[in-house]
Amino acid sequence: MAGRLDEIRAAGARLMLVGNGSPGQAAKFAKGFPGVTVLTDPSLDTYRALGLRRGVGATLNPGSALSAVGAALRGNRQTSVEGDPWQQGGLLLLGPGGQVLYLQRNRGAGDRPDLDRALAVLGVGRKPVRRGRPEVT
Amino acid sequence: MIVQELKALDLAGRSVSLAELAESGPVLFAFLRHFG
Repeated sequence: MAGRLDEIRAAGARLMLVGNGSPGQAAKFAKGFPGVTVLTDPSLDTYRALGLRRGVGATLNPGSALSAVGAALRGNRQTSVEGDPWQQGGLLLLGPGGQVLYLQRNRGAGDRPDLDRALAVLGVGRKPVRRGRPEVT
Repeated sequence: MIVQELKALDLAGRSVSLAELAESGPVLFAFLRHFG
């Protein structure tokens, strides 16, 4: 996603990465993403408030195993887990006034953020979704 | 969900409000499974 930073900025948005390790782990992680704000939520309170999934089943399943194999074949290797090993991620597009414009809750470890759908809400690429109603997946 | 209650820590460990961060324009928050 950070590889599409220019696209995100062109849409008038900013990208912020939120993990769940310690601030020190976040600072170390941030070195790999210059120009991107990195935050962390070790309490997982915000993850819970957004309804993001957490559990062994969501993390270890045939889909996640296939994704791990695919990532390894592409040369991406997970070296360590700095944060909650069972927490799943998601994507939140928040507008001024606390308006939730788009929310994606990943079903499992193999899910990827659907940036195209999020940007479509901002009128980029695909037909924008109806105004006033957030798209939640 | 009360958006104003969504918070995270910055690199210095200070609590920041996600809604406040988005006051000046849309922000795409990518929630990671973990760092690393």
